[in-house]
Amino acid sequence: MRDVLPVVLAVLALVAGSSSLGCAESRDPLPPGSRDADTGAIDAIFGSDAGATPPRSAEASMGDGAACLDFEDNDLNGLMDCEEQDCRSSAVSASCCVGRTDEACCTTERVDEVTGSGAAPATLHLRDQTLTTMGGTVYPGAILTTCDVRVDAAFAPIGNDSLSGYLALPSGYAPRSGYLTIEARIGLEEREVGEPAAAGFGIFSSDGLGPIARPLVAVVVSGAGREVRVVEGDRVVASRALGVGACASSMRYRLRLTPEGSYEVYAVSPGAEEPSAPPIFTGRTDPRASVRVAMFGQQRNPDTAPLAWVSDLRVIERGCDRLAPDRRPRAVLDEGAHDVTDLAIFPRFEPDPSPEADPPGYEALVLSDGHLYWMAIRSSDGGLASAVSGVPFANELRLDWPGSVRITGLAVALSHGEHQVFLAATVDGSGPAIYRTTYTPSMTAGQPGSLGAAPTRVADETMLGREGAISIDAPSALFVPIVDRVVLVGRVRFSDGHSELRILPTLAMDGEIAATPAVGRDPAGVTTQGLLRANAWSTETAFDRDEVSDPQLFEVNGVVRVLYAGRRGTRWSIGEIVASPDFTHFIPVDAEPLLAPSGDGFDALGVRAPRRVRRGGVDWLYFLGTDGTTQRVGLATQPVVSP
Amino acid sequence: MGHRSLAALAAVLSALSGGCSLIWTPAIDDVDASHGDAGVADAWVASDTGISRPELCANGLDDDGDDLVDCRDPDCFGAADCCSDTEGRALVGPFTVSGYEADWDHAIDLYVASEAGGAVLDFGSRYGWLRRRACAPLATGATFSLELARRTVPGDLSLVLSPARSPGATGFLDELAVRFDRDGLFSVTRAGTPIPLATPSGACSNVARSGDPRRYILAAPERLVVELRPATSNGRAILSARIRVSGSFDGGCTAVVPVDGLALDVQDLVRTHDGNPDSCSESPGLYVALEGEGAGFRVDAVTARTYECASPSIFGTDALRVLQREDLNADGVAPGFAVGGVGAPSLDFGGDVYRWRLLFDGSLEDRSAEIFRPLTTRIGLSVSPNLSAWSMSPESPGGGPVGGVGDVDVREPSGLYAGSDEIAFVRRADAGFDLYRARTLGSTGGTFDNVTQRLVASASGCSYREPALARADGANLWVFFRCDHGSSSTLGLAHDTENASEAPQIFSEDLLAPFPDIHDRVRAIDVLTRAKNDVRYFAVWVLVDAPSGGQALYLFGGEADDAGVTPPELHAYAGNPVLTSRDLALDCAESDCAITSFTVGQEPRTGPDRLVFYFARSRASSSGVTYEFVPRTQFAPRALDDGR
Repeated sequence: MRDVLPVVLAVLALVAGSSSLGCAESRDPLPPGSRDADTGAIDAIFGSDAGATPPRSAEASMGDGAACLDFEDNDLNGLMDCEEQDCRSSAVSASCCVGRTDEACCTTERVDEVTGSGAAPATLHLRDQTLTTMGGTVYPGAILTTCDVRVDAAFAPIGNDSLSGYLALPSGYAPRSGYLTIEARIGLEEREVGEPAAAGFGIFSSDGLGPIARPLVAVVVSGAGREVRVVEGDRVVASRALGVGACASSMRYRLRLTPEGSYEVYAVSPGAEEPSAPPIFTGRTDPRASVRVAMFGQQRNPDTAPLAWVSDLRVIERGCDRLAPDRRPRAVLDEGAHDVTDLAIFPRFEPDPSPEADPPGYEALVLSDGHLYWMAIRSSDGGLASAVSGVPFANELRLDWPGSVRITGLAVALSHGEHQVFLAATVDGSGPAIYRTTYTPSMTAGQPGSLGAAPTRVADETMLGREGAISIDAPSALFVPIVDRVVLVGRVRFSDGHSELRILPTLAMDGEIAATPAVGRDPAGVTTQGLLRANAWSTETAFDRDEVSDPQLFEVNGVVRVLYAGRRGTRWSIGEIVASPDFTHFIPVDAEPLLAPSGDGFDALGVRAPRRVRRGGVDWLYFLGTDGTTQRVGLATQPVVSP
Repeated sequence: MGHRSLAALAAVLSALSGGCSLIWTPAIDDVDASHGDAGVADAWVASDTGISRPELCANGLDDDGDDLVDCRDPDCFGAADCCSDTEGRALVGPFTVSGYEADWDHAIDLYVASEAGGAVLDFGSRYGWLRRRACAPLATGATFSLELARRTVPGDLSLVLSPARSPGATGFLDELAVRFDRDGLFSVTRAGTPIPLATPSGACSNVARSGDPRRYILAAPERLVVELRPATSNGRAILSARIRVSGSFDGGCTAVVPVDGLALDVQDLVRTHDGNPDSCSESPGLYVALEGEGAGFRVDAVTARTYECASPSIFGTDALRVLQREDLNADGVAPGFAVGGVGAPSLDFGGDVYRWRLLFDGSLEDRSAEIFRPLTTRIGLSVSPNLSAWSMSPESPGGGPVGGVGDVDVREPSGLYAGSDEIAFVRRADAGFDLYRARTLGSTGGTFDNVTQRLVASASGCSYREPALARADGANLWVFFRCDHGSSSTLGLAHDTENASEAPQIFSEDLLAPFPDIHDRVRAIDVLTRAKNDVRYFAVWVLVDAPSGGQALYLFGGEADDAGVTPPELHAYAGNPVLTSRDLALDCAESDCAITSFTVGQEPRTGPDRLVFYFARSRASSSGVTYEFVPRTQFAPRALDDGR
């Protein structure tokens, strides 16, 4: 330990000293790429300043973005850190983009384009997948009025007397975590053939696609009255008469949604790529989860050629680093006899857990009634179960631990291909402390692994040197390659009743323990070592007013983040903190919780113990939900935009 | 909509306009003066107004100089003088509960032992509880007092306020609990965690166990009083709790431990579906329970007093049922003109025979088809003596001013009884929707009587939607409406008269302009008014597309001269929005529930004194869309009702 500690301290101190301690204005700005190798390497893990630097405020022009997370108003303009608009750019401070939806923060783009084939039978495709309609038909473009624009094939909602027809794209989209633009051409035939038809496109919840179309928001061209309509649910919120001529009835429309829930509807002139006029309507929508994109409409007379149709649908998704969980979380481990206390979810093998594998390469340790159980993530919908018998809680993992032990929390970190397990436990009546052991996965997929030797004590309240600290629990751990150590975070309780999330000692592979030199400051400027969050910071109505707990460290796109649970009264909610690139300052992403108790069902009263993993293009947020009686494992999801 | 002798909406109107949030002024001594807590109440003053003198709520004076007198001052929101009756429910022992759950109301029948001076509360050898049977409507304010004494036998006792009790739980989740344990310690806990306590008054010192300010050594507790008062904080509705524990502390000194200003977020207290059939989820309140083990305490009296203070953010159901289209007809068959769904309710109480009247619109086709083509809609009227059984008026349906045939699209009625029926509604025209008024739906069916076209869309560029009629003096009427203009939807106000030859005068097409976050997001409106001393007081609820997404219900108030010469200036209620997007799910588990409109009415003289809301909701499922009216109720205080 004596050999390693100075190195660790030196590296971490170098990081701290180069970026955030002291007043940033007093330092020379460092242009990108001018820093020494060690610092640059750490930024590769904890954040980076890649890319060009646009003109910035003094706060944002510190070169490495560190001044954007130092609790200082470096340019004395009244805005601190990420409040500074110029800090909110992925090119300046990736950390400041966490949870933000500024355009400069949202860069990941995915385009889904529906292509058509007019060869009989006419078909529509998304990449190599042929799309199928419900209550509609795909027609070749040759029979449609197209205003001299080539249309290979189009969806036409020819159905029966009262129902709607639709064609939905197979994947979900996440309008609350990025910008979503949907474009399509909507055609209207002008023939006098009885009752007019209508067609359009829009976004739907999964429940909104059925025999009666119910879009969250959509653009519809209606033959009745020859008008374009903006609809929300079953409500027409705006309408505008079409012009005359074939081009007027074969226009392209664009629906653009922002993460804040506002939307704009544009009409695009024939031959133009971009709208030349302001939006014809702006409004708000409130998707609660991922949405489906669909073309839909209604044509009551099935015996005629299409009277209204949709073609050339294109969806452009531009993602932000924002987790907006599905607000309809569900219980995925709902065993009434088991009150789940904690869980840890981890990939089965380093480095790539084969996210598309079936079953995916993730495992879980679950703590229930004082016992540890092994489970596999069973299926692509995130369900947890024993892969052996299909019965949850079938595989108990026994610890070689003498004495009377009560385990209250657990975490798993991967380092050098080894699974390190951290347990919060009381042993022989002593106060809660953090212990470490190892977990060795089975070589056979779907089989439980085994725990290592008797856990060793790695952290307790005496190591903090903090007056009034009475216990440490709720561990979370993250392996930091550059220092080749595991950073341990936990919850510290104090004798006056308040609680804090703190960085605990760092640990090396050989078991050597080192106190972290990382320094945190609260918003009032009080410097304390390793402090992430304390409930004492909160206002009387803040969701974490009364207690904080259950941190989970994780890293996404080079930014270290911390999910945690906060309590107000009896209610536990889940919030998020972002770390500065040097891992010394921690800032809440939002004053509102990321996930709050539902007031109904298994998570009526509380959600806590957030455990987030990203796999298969989805953010999976596992958590413990309680209805006041038991705690069950719940799951909220959010699609991730990936190119 | 309510029309006469409108109860004062004390908290509503008093909470308007000041902008200062309050900590409720007054009055433990108003509630329970016999116990000698006078003077404690003086501590309850406005906390963030910067004033030096608190508003006294029943002296007819503007004590704090903010131009708002007594109950119209938000500082008096929830004050006893501005609330309706207090309800006292006393339990005086002796009683014993033998280790198992028992209901408070039954406890008096369960006693088996007593001793001089009071009753032994004996939970037996297992942890047990004594629960107030009904969920206490704490969100509207309450006081609980307990006279107790420790016996020589071991035992512990807690007074617990809980949002939930679940089957299998060993007690109640304590949102707030006051605990006396068998070791002689006293603590106040929230979710099981003791909070630091203030130093006791008087000469007591060193009362904390081992220097822990969260646990005091209280050898002989004598009295516990817990007060909960509605308030707002950071724009959220809260209960501000204050606790007084008196007794003989360590060393024999007698003192009072004050615990003040604990904020309980109302949204955390209500609407919790915890799996219990008798859950408080349908009642805006909490469980109140005495928990404990053993027979260590003698309890001389337990008194629970709850207040019917108007609390604009608190909605209950009062067991009213959701109304679907077939419920509006006495024979249980959906009215023919409305088989496609109903919407735009308008509720008022009155008529030649006192009864509830519910105007609504209905469509022949499924309303969801409107996204594809115009609907044919009619206006219906159902009546009920009790909000339970409804019957369709023979006047229904009203079909509009052109004979009620063809593709007439008349909708969004607003009703007001003002000596005669007054109905406002809109009708689709080429340039948008025009505003009409009529006297009745018509005696022959399908047509309105005395129809006048009042505001024309093409003349102003404003498409008129969701009218809401409000009474002014004499033949004058106010017409609130939604003005759709391009992509904005604003709140408008016109003055109208019963004289059809006089053109309505539009005062504003953007009455909420001072509130930029929501002024152009209006969806629906309803209004209640009352007059007193030639002043017309308004309570205006506005359903908006919330800035944060979803929909929200905002409350505004205002005053105007009763002659209808000048329009009211609206002031926002400090606790807005009174319903959030989450609340407006109205217990709808599916994602595709939407609130499209709402109405509020008040029964002025008979029955429970309350405001009744119906929210028009469309609820989608795989089998189609259901259109229904979802009820919610609020207390309406009597204190300022000029009819009483």
